[in-house]
Amino acid sequence: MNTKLPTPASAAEPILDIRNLYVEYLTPRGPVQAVDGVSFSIGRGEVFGLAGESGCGKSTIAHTLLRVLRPPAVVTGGQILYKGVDVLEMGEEDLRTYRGNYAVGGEGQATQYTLESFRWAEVAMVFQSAMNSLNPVVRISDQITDVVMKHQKLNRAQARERAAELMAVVNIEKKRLDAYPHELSGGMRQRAVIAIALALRPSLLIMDEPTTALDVVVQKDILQQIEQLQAQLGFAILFITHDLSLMVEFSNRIGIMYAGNLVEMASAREIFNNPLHPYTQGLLTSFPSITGERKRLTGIPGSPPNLITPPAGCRFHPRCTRCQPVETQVAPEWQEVLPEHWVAAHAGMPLPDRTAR
Amino acid sequence: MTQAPNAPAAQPASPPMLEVRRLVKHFPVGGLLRPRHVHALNDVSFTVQRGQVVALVGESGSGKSTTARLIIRLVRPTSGEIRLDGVDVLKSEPRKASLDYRRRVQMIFQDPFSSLSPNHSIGYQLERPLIIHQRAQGKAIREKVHELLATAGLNPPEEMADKFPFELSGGQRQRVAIARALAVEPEVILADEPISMLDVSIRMGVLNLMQRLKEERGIGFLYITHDLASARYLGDLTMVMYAGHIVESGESRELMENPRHPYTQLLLAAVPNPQAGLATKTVQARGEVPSLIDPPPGCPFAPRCPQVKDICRQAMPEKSTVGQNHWLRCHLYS
Repeated sequence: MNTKLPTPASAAEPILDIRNLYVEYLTPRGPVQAVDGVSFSIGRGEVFGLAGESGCGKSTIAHTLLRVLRPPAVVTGGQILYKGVDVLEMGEEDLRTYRGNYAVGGEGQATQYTLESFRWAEVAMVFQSAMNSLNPVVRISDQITDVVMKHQKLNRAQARERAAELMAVVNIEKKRLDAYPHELSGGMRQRAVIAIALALRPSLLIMDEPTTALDVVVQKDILQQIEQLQAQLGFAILFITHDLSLMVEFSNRIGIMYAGNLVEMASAREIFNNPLHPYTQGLLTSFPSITGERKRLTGIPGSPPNLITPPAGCRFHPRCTRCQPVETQVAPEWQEVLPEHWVAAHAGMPLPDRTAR
Repeated sequence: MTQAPNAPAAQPASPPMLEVRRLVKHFPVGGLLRPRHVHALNDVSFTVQRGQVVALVGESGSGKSTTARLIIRLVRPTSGEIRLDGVDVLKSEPRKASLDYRRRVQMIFQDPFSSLSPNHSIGYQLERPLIIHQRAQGKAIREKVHELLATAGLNPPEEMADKFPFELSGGQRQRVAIARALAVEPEVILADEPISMLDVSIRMGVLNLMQRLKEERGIGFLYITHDLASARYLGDLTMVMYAGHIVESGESRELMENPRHPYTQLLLAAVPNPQAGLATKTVQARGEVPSLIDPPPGCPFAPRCPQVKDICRQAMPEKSTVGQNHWLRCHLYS
């Protein structure tokens, strides 16, 4: 549906540039169009938030990006350019030796690596459930040393030292190094997972609902810590969540996804203060606020569509309160309606006059 | 519906419909020789009036769900009383009284994917309570099922009744769970995190449905949640729970605008607030909920409290009243 590609947000070369990505899950009842022509880019050191409901395709994008999609999922089109190299074109071998072949300077330690991986060394991921991403029968220390010994030329003692350093970075006491995951609290486990993700100093960290399973106080603590680490180490973040208020607080720019499409993309402030797409507007009236007047909120009527037979035209039209006849037929066009503010809009949609600003 | 949510509770002067007095629950854990106990609930007392939503907020493990499970009588309390219209339900006759109690007090669970039977149609699952509690007979059963589905916003009811849970979305399933609770015309509904598993865009629909049931039918709700914003939206009163104690309680708006207990202040500071931004409010107290296995004396929040005093580690503070319907347990105010 996206005929025009967005230009990178920052004038500088983006670290990640996803162009017109299509991913389908092949099922006996027909292909599920999970990601349907999505394009966005992430600048160096930027926090890009991808928001949407379950099943909208946000996690599928993260998995595609790391090339961990398994059949029945197939990429049916598009490019994922990481520092200019198409991740989808990399062979398995390349994925492991990425850094050797396309060594990127400026990171300080880049040269001492020989057999590096694209995964982990360049792009690392923090999953939602720490309990499921840590091995329950292996000590935390071994789970960290495994990673650094596999990817860097370190002996066990050096690796252990590095593990202790990493634990210190995420504020876990050194004596906890030899604990098993079940001996740690939920917050500490998630911090250990973050430490492991950061072990190889990646340039891009994907966080898929990193704090959804945690309590608010722990969530705030961990996000503040990530913000500090990001300021120190300068990695970019792809932050995936359904919690829009958290996302507005934490991200620089936000993309809103609905049923496999990107429907709006702008800076966090702009999304919050000036949402243009009816779905974004609906999402923003879907959670009560902790301050201000208590207003009756409506949410969005109906529920997300089945993606085997998505609605024709705009996929949101069956739930849209401002639906026009044209929307049921013609897919909206991805356009930059204000500087750096993109929206999937059809001809009849009331839009601000770009020149007026 | 122009009326703002959280209109004052119906009749504050009437005797409490549901009253919980000094409820305590200790779960035994560990060995035979040195039995230890998880102090899940310590001396919890509160009331729910007709047509009132009382929100119970707290972090995981704070005892919110245990409270609901004790009230619904899935688990027996270690000590304490549960009174419905003044009658102590724990002492009353088992079989018949218990059936009556279970009709009047219903529960909605967090996970609508596991609280409905996958093998039966929605219509069947709504018929069962009607038959067991003799609310309808013969042809009237079918009509009543359709009426319930329509009340819960599941249209068209004739079609919905023939569907199976796997054909429904999470929000629709939670509406079925609400319809099932309504089948027996309950007076109190215990809603344990009813929206936390639902997609953001359909949460408000379920909250507004509860709001409507409160207003139109005078049902009293105990709304259990970890989300303070939704407690403020739906709850007339909000109670904050920490490590098995209710540490602060007040009218929702007053409590959130004027939090007194350091824990309530911490919780409120941690709620994401797009207006403010992440860096503006620093969380002062680190750490997590302490172990509840044979805890030391004193206030359970003392180890994390930024304003801790010596006395806090020695004795649990008594209730101090700080405003109309607003009280807390904190040595700073006693």
